[in-house]
Amino acid sequence: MNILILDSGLKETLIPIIGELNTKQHEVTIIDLKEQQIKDCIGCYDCWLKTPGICCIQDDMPKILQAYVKADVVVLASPVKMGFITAELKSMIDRLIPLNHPYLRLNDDRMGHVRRYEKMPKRLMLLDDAQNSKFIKRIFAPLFEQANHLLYTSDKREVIIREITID
Amino acid sequence: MKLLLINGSPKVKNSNTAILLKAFERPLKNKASIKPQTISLAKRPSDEEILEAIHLNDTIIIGFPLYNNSMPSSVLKLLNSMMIHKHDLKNKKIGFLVQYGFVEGIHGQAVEEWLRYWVKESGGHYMGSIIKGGCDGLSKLKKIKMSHPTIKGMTEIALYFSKHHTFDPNLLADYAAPMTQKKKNRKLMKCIIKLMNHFYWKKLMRANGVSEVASFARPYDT
Repeated sequence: MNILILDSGLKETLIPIIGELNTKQHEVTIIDLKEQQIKDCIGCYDCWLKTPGICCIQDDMPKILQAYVKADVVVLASPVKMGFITAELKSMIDRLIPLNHPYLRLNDDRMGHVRRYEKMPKRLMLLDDAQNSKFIKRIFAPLFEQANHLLYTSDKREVIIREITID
Repeated sequence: MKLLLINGSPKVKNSNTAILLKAFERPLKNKASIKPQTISLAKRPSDEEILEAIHLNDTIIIGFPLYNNSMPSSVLKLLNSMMIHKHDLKNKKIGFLVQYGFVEGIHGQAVEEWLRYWVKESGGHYMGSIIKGGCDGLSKLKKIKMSHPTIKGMTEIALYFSKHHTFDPNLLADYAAPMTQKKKNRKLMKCIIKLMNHFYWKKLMRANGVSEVASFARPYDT
């Protein structure tokens, strides 16, 4: 499996996880978001209305988008700060809008946007504080489409590995 | 009351959040006891400017567009910075405006819970969050009438605020409604969505010379 880990501060905690994924012959790419230049979304709508699927900002985000679309699994890793994810991870998530199409659709009991790409990676969040993550779960659960999308560094390693690699 | 309105939209122009904050501010302007000051994050004020404004005011309302079911990262950074200086938030009244395009109120609910928690942690008093869907096209309107339901509702919330210095939960609930789409309206909603896609989004694309087919481009497909 092609696994992309976007880390905004878990660093050393991820090393044993990455090590085990590598021994299982998965292709693991880890990107340290704090080392990337990811500017905030400016809400210009270019990625929807002018250059479909492409952001007008020239920084490190286009290469992340490319890796994101190619991946089978994307793990968004973040420490929990005051009940939320880091600003670096939020900046990156906000810049994922080119992956959506502007057209609206009805998802069960509410509106949503139409997907741009046919196949999107399975998305998981890996956090370091199970106690204080309820707001993160409530906010990001609707954006993730599968159950068990939240993992914690306090979980058993085999559980983390299984959730990441299970189809 | 010394009121600070912060527009957390990254848009320099055509900000829907700005339109809503102006609609909120309008009925307050006649009240001499309320002096609204506005800061716009899109104008990139310095940290010092923002912190000074917070220091000088006793009531703060932060408005922002919903980005991925929550606040834009620029607003998160602002809140993180405000929390570092939380001594300046003690006992201050803090409220929010959360606006977005989807019509249902439920989209703002999850972030509202976190905002409530954040204010509690800050030592301030939570006034509530004005949640409003269906706001995408506000900046595209040639003229924004006072009778426009979104503007009218905001005016009512502001009038209550000018009297009671807080948000009326009943007005907020009415303003955010409907929370979700009912099953019986499914067919109708699908029709409305088709019309919105055609007359709003497709129109904007065509104005940029982008055909519907071209709009579905997949530049990162391998």
